[in-house]
Amino acid sequence: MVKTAELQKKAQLHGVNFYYGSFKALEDINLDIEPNQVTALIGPSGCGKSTVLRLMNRMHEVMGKTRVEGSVLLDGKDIYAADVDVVELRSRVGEIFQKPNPFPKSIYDNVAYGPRIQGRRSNDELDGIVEKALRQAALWKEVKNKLKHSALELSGGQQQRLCIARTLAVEPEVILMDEPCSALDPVATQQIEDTMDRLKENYTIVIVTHNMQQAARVSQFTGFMLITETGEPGRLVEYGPTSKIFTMPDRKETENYITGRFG
Amino acid sequence: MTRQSFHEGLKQLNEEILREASLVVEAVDLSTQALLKSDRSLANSVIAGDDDINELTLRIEGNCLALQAQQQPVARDLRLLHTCLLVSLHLERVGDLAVNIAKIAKRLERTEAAEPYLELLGKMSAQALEVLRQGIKAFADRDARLANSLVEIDEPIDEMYKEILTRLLHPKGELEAVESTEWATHIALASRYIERIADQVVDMGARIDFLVTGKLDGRYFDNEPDKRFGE
Repeated sequence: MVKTAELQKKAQLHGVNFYYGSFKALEDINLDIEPNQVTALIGPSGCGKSTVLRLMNRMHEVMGKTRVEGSVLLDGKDIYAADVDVVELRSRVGEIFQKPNPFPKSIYDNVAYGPRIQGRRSNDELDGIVEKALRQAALWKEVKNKLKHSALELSGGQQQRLCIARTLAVEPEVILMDEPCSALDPVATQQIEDTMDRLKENYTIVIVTHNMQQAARVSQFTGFMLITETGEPGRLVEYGPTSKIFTMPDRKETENYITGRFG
Repeated sequence: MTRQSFHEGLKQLNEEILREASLVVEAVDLSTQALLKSDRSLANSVIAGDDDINELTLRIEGNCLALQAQQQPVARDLRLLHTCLLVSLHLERVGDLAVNIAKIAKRLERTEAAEPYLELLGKMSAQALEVLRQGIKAFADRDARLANSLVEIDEPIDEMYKEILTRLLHPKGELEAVESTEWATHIALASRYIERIADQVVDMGARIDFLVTGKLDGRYFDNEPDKRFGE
């Protein structure tokens, strides 16, 4: 039986521990992801931010021997339950990576790739899906006259928006973004941030970023993660509304990190 | 600018506020002394000294802007910059009020009738100086409790202010008879300026509370003397 309050959360991590082999990478992570909001995870390198992200679409399972304890829920349902289809899960929870990674295909074929796999083959339908996704990713105007050109001809910022369009084309509910702007210049970064802001009307976004100002700009909720020492597991130190985290964090560790008083 | 020099910049800003505060304390102290002693040269030195306060206020504002633009401060750094800007402006206004008092000191006619009023003004200004000193201490020590208690230290000032206005409007006897409209206006204004000084510091206290607690609090905004008077 799922409680009503839990249904309102898009995703939830309850008491999650995570192991790479025998190494405990995360300890007791409790996190509620609000629907139609941008949630940012910040913290120093190696604190487990990206691992938390991967847990949410089971992407860590492609990395070999890993183990999850606790529960990860999507719309109140355990995504690690035996009856969950991982392929379907990943179409519901899409991911954008640090470096734009378009396929060496045309712009059109990149966006149509997912829908085709889902068995949507009519040209009219695919045309509509491709245009809609490119519009949502704020790339349509720039590429509408060269859809058959190679995606590799695009600039880095355009490639990243193409990857967003490729993810949107399979109509996910949650979009995970792992440092989506770290390889981009300020103008391209701003375009991605503007895109995120619009996307949150229809999608739930979780972003990992090293750029605290970016977290402050784009997110409504922020989680701060930390490892106390090398070899220790990452923990979620503080989680709350972004405006509160960046004006009056509760925890000293958060304050020290975001104001640059660490190390 | 590196993060380390940013934190140096914040320290420097804090020191500039305390420097401004000490100039303002001196201005209030000297202006009220000038009023009570009818000392024109003291009054002139307060008026001349206001330029230094204004210059320092402008420098603080410029430094706050530069640090915000270059460092995107957050959390306690952000609250400190925000608070410094507002505290500095409150202090600058207190300095202006001291100048107003100094100007009255130069014009006020010393008569026998003025004495009971000057005695009250003396008590008021001593109390206002106490509010100011405690306000500055609250900032220096980041003491939210002290900052919030300023409103209580301010209460006797409001009472004395009311008393002065009431006595001016309804003189009790021959000695307190109001001699001229100009004279009465000067006394009324002087008491008003002292009362405003304390109110500025009470409002400053709300800013210091924010610095410490991060809570924005509008309860002092309603605490206008005009509303308190005429009850």
